[in-house]
Amino acid sequence: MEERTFFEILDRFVDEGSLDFIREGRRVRVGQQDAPPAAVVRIHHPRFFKRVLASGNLGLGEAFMDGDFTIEKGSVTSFLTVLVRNRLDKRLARGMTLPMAARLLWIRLVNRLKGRQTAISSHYDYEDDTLFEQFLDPRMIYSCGYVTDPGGTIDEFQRHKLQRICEKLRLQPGERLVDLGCGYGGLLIYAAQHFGVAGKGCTLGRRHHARATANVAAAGLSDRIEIVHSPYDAVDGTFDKLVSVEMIEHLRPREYGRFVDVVSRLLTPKGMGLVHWIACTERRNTHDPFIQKYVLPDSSQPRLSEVVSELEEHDLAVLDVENLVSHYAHTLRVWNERFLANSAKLGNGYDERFKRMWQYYLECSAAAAHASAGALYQVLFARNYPPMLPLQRV
Amino acid sequence: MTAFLDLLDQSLTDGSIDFVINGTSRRVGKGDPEAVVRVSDAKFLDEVLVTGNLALGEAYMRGDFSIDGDDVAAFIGVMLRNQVDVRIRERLGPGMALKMGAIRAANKIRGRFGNIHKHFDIGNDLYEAFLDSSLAYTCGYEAKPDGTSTLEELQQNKFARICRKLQLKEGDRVADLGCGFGGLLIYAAEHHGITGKGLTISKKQAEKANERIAAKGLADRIRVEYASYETLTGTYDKIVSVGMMEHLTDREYPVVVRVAKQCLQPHGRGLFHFIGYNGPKNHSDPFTQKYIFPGAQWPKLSQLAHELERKALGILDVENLVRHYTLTLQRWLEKFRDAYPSLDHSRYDLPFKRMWEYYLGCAIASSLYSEVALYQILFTNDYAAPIPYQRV
Repeated sequence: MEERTFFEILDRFVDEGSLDFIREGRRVRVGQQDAPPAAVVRIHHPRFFKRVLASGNLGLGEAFMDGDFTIEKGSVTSFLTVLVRNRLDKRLARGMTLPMAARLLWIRLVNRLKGRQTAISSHYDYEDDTLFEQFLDPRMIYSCGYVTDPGGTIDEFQRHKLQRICEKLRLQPGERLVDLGCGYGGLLIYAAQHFGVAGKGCTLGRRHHARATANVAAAGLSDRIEIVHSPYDAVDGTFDKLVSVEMIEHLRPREYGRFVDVVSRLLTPKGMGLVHWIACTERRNTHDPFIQKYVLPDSSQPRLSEVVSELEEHDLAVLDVENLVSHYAHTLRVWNERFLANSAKLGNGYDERFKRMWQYYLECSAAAAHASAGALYQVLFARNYPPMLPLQRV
Repeated sequence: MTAFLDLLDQSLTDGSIDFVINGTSRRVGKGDPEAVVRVSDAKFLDEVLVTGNLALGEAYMRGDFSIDGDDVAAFIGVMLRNQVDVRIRERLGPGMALKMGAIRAANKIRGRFGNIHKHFDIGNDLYEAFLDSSLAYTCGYEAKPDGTSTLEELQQNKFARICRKLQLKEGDRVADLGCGFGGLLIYAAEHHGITGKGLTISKKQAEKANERIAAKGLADRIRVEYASYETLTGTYDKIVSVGMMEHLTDREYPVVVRVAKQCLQPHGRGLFHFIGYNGPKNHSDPFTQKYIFPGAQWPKLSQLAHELERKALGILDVENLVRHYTLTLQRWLEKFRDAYPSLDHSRYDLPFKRMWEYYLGCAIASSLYSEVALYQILFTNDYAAPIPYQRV
């Protein structure tokens, strides 16, 4: 029953590209019959169909975690890209049952009650950094890189990103830079080493704080960079430049105003800032239910207009907006390749189900970056137009 | 008579102005003087605190004061930099509210066609006198770091940049909403082999644009219609609008975005280029409202971004070209001054010349020191289309 419905839906809605499914030795093609399939999906368990129909991407992800299906040709990303490309995500969500909607609500409610500290810890405070060491670059930067050569390494993508942010902010020796949500301190250390700035970073992750502080000390920069374990709104002082990379996704939409209040308070009258985040370019601003449940609880994807209207309210002039979504897709792709190559090194704490969950998260995020309404914005702004602002942008 | 000068003296903490009244010089503010103002009839000084820039502009047109070097931009610039406009706005009496209300009401009655007529139908000879040969009356693009390009180059660079952002290619169908004299369409047809249509609600622009298109032998590829943007029908690969959004009221932003959405191909791209406003509240300048751009209003970036999001048009890039706007305005002012002696002075008399200089001077100062922005928003109707890693 569910099997028939599943294939009917796909057959009806996939008009661009095609997919092959193998079920009990039978091969079914959906979409353009003459196009080579973007992925060949082998289904091992009939509950696959029920899970997908009932829960969309959450069901698909859990089916993958439990081995209900495997990919024989192509990748999870290419499979999902076809679905997203043909707006299958939207069409299935519309057919969502009431119990499913209630379950989503439940997942979000729990996170609201636990608060931000817990929510972020569940994602970032794993017992150690082993998981992230398997796929991130040596600086352990867990955000979208900047690609100049798609064949480059993850280390290069992250270095180019840091360089580009520093250039956009036109960092000068002796300036003070604050990084809200500084992770392992990679950006601050780079800015201090290559642009001669001093500064401060804040993070809510305990492991981030400890390791960032150690990284700063190892770089011999303890006299110039301070890492504080505190929420962004508890940071004090004033700074010439401000940066925040992939932090505001953890704020609730009604907090954007407060966030920009803090930005405005921290910046000197001639200050400039850059906010970098995973955004949504459509009306709806929530993460996918799978990602909500397993990876980034209580996260959202702020729209550009939401952040820009707060900047306007605070008389901060937007100088430039870049959408790096193609760089994000590539970063995710490379993270996933590294994760698959290195996941065997993960110890006992990480079973196969966990590994498939992580793979699914990276691959479905890549598909979303490729084909959905996702965006990755870097917004550069200034309180007053800097008098020496060059004519050509970075 | 001294209240305005006293206010300036308190407000100008960075820079000063010398006022010469009846042979007596008074310096207001702190630091080196950036402008010398010679007053021949001091009555207007009292009006400034009532009607702000409207009083200043009208006094300048009447010749009640002059500025050494005719440097309106320096005079207005030092005031804007020190936020004198904010101080005056806080003090503006009910007289100003009435006056502003009357200007707005008159603009509303005349309507959009009437307003655009008032500004743009002054006479093509005026535009030919101070614009480049393509008659582009919008901000150009300076490709040289030192800012030494000619006006001609600024406008050609701008066309080239917009075409590259839109990824124009041979055979694309392009719609230009508010196309003016058709400069961008002509450039795109000549350099990228597009076909298309432009719309303008100025009759003289439409006639002149079609003459120019015919003269270039492009009449089979592009044409300009005397029509409003919302009458656009058909589908296009690319939609562009340069310098039109400023003439719409904010109620029309959803309409223009809906038109773009309806008329874009599924794989289409669009670009809006407009003078934007960066602050919380958009205070229209009364002088510009009355004399230059009646009914004009600078949209906020968030307003247009919001409408694009509602229509699922994905924003790929936003560039703030305000520095390029300063340069463009300076080139226009230089060219206007050079050309003025050869203009028909029975139509463009001395008060007109002073009005035009005052307007351009104010615009230069605003682009340097106020919340004015010049935005180009690039958007796509197709999220899944490949986006090059490096932007234009």
